[in-house]
Amino acid sequence: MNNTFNINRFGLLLKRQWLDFGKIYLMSLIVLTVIVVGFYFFNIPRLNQSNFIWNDNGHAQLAFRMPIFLSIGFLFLTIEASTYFSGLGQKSKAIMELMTPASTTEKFFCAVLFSVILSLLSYLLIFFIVDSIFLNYINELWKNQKALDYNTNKLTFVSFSPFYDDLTSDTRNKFLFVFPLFFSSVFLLGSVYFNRFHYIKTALSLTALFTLVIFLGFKTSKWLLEGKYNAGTNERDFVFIILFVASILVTLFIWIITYVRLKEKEV
Amino acid sequence: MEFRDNKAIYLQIAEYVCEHILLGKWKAGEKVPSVRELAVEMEVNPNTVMRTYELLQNKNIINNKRGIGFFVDEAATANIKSYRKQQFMADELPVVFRNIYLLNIGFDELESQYKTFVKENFNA
Amino acid sequence: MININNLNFGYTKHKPLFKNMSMRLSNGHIYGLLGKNGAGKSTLLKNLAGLVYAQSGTLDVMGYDPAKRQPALLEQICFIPEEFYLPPVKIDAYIKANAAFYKNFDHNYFTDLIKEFDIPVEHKLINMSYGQKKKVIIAFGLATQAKLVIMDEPTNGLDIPSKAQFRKIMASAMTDERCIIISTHQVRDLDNLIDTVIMLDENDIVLKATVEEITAKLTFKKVKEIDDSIFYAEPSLSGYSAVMPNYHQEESKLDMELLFNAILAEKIKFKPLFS
Repeated sequence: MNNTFNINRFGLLLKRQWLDFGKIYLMSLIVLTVIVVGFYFFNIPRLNQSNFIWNDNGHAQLAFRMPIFLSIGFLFLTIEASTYFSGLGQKSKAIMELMTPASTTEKFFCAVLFSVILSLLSYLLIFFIVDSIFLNYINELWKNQKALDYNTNKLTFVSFSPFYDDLTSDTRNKFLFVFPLFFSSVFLLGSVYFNRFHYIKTALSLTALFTLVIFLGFKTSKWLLEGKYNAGTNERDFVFIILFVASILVTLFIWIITYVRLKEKEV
Repeated sequence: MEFRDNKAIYLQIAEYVCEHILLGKWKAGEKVPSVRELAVEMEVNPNTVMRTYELLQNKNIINNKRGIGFFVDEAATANIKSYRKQQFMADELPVVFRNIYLLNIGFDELESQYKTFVKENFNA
Repeated sequence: MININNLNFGYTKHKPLFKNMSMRLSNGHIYGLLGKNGAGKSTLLKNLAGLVYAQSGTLDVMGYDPAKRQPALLEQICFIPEEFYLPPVKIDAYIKANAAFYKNFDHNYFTDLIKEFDIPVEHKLINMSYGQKKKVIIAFGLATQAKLVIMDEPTNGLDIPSKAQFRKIMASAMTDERCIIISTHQVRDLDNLIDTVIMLDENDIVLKATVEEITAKLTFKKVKEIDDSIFYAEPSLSGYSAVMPNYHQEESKLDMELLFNAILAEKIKFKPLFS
């Protein structure tokens, strides 16, 4: 018998975890949908409004979407990740979890799959669906309405761009895709590490860590670069790439710590 | 079954088995319950019943047919009686004697009491 | 089946719970684990199941180190904790999700046990009483056919008929391949099931002996007066319940509660008898 990873057992484990985690998960998806729909609903652009942001394809962008996408996404992913292992803080649940005949590796991958990958995909999907339905609706509403496209200085028929076009229009946005991985990995670790109040404790630790990192980064960069250098666009991209790679490395590192903590969890 | 406090469990189970044989519920040559069945019925550890069956085998009250189970010995009734008599003499009679002595009961009185008892209970 | 060698354990460095504990347990027995509150009964069971890790020493359970939590060992352990959790689903959904982890899971046996225990299958597990839930996990655990059965206070929360059913089920569950370890305060619920007594006190095992060994060396009986031959006595209705050396090869019934109190009170007297 393979005691590290067995695909059948992994499948059984996914099924088992779904039984426990699934119902709450589906409910949280419903809550998520309601919240996203709510934000859209209160941000329907009024007719005759004309101060739009225009993209290069002559579509008007809805500026309220980006902050909502980021902040709700952050909350959703971190909450999902932070609940996954929260049961391990309760003695009775933890015993049942740890005694389940699957390896730590399988249990860990199951956690990553549910709390990171599945959550991220379902979030993107829900946002996409709500956005498409919404666009259908308001594009219909704004049919034959014109506004001034400041890129071309022409009066144009208003048609709104889908959110994912907005998201991918700036090439630097692609670097953002590492953040959900990073944050959910941190909150997953928090759910193994802390026995109670996982979310708030993780959030506090993270804030403290960020403050420290930013402070140190600020100090060192000031010391290194003082008066020597002015960052241009290329260098800014370079900084983004460094941040991107660093975030991925940190994420992997956090996953390793999570695995070790899970392996060493005692009840 | 309700066990008494004064005797090892495996002996009390032996008594139970003997009682069944004497009352004819389990007849000579018939199979007795397996160790597990009797353990479940008595709510005791199967090892305890095993000990009982070993004892009863030694007293030739039951015998073990390999692979099939335990059976009531053909001479079980006689063997039980001699086993019980021996036990009665060793364990219970001293207590009775002690009381007879302490309460100063005469043998004549005992004899008539005994005869009435037999008459009333066994119609002999 | 189980080999414990020089086990040292404590939840904190300064307060050791076990000091150089060694013990062997074999299959074909029902071990009764006794000890005062805080003596470490549950902790010893958790060590065996790999839920906590020893500070030093070795633990061997069926050739595995339980601390590694390998599936091959986990599927051979049936662990019934005192406090447990069951998800908010019906029994059949629970079985569907969990039984497949155990190669030898016996569905018919599980159904029999559930029937024997009189559990309403149509109810959700979360709506059942503590006793009913406990019976479900006992039934599940035994149906896994695990070779090592560990139960922490299994009769806690069971009503009177359930206790009798439990004893019957355990009597039938005990096979030559199985090793069953039961920790308990309610000695009277289980004393006829246990064939070997393990007693914990003061960071170590103070007694590990079969009922047969104990009753060969000691006799338990009611006496009118106490004399020097008596190790320990407790007043009872008609005199005293006493423990004394078995001089006359009497075959008395082991009174586990009395033995427990006797050993706690008079450890030194018992030591030479069981070493």
